[in-house]
Amino acid sequence: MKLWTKSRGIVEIAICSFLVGLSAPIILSFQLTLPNLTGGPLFAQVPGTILLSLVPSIYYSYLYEKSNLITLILTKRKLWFLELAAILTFMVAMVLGVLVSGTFSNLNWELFRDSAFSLSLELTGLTLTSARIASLAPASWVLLCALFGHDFQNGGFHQWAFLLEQDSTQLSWIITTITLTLGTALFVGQGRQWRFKLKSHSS
Amino acid sequence: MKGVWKSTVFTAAALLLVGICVAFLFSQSMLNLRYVTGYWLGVTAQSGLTLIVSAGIAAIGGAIEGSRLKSTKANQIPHGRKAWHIALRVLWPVFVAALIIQVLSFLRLSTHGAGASDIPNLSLLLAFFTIVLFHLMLGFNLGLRLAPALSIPVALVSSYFWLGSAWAVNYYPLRYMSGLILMDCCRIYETLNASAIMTAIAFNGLGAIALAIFARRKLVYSKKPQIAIVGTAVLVAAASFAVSANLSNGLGPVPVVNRPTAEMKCTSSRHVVSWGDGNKKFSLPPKICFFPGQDPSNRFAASLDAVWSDLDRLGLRPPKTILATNVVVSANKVGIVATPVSNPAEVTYSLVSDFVGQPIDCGESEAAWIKRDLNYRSLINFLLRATSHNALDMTGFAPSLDPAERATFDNRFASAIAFSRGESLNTATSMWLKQSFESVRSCDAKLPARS
Repeated sequence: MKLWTKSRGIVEIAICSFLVGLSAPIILSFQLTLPNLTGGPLFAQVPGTILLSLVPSIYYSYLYEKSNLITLILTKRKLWFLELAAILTFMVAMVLGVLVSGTFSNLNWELFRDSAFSLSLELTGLTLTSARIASLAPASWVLLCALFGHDFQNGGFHQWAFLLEQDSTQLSWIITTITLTLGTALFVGQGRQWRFKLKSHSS
Repeated sequence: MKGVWKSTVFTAAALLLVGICVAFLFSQSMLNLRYVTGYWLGVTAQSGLTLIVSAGIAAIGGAIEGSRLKSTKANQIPHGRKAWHIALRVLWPVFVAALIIQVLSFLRLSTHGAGASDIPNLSLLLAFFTIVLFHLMLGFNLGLRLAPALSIPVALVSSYFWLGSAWAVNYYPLRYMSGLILMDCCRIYETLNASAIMTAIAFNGLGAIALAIFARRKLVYSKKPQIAIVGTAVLVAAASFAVSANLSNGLGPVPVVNRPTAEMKCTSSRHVVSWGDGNKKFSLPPKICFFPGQDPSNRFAASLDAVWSDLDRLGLRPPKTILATNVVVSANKVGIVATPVSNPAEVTYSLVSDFVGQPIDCGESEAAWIKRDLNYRSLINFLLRATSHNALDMTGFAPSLDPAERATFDNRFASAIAFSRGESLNTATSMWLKQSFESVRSCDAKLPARS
């Protein structure tokens, strides 16, 4: 277990998630201004949280890519259990970070929601592609939200672009929970052969 | 090498496929027809809409190829190949893919260029080329230095936010360095400031060279630290910033400037009179001036002529020259807004509203200002009714009046409608009109009664 923890960078995941969670009150007031090319005002605001929420999930992929694959391939332990533990570490550390930051500021869960959603896309990317390009999934989603997420006709944002919302709605939490569950199930449920792109030479 | 070659082509093809889909969606939702119709400069500039996609594709592709080369440890294992040869070999497929997106974007918009009298702006196309190249080299360097899991998303996000966010900063030169702002151009009576284009070319061109030199450090085998390479790269990067900052020094928040009126063609379709020996001719007003292609089906000139005559018949003495540009003009000229996709009613409404102007602020009390504003709104309502005809209805553009206000001016508006049918104005209405018109422009003029 010690070897796996070291190889998989569990401590680093925990520290990164905790720090991101801790920074929630600071980043919430930070807005990026981008040109609005869809009509309406010339510029549109994008919350800085959507960029920060990418950091732990990209880091998760980086550590996954860096991890000693041979150790993982040869381990006799149940890999699905180990990976589930890594995801739980990610989540718990961030919750702790948000809670700690909430003791000296308002409790804000938006960054946690955004990070959890990014992680769900990251896990899907990790399952379907490879660690080197998996982060394109959450990064592209964030850019799509920034580009097309504003709804200037009705004011506010499109529902699918809830990452842009500063006040989380119930629907956004439901979507995040579902996608995170699905992403986790996909990632932890994949077979060893698929996970490590191993080729069978039995024939 | 064959395997690497296959991979680079596959990467480029995959990115091209995704890029074309996103670029099509993007330009479909954001295209401004007022910019592109009948004006090659507008077509060229608006093709830059897809830079967000093509530059992103170039950055991702560069990062993928960079990370692939990183794994070969080319700077640690002796080899005989030149750095530029290696870079060119792996980068050109993805560079071509990104350029294809730009070319397709341009070709798609070029269908709107029919009837334009200018030619596509080559320097602007060169600016877009250098922007794509800069993002390619940026991604390539990230790929050569960071782990793929980091370099690829960082390349995409940094490319997007550099292009987008730089546009919104208050330090204007940065807007022109990133270059996306160049796509926000131009209605037919506007043009791009050449310094803005040169800034984008200088920054992105020299910046790409600096990044290429910097990348060389990771491609050349050497056991010694390559200070000369890094030093040269830093120098070129500093030069690119200095040159482009200097070029964009005098630019304002937007790169668009008014097109010189010397390029306009003026006509006076009516009232050609000959006298003396019959050879001398002179045209009675109005003289109407358009840029080539601005009035493609000759609909605006005839409508403007009719409305001008009505204003003249009302005794308001409209300026004798009408210029289809938003350049501030003298007292005997009036500017109107017209693009090839405007309809005649929009153009003639522009003549009426620009001729009247905005109510002057005389620093009065709020109650007095409300009266002045009501006078202005009633005057525009009156004029639009008086100059509208069956085929040219401008009343839809009239400023709103509430029912009580409308009731006050019912008689005036009835006179206006009668005037549009060919009747003359009665003396009281004529006096009211002149007084109302004067008080919009002058603080000395007294507001007419009942307003």
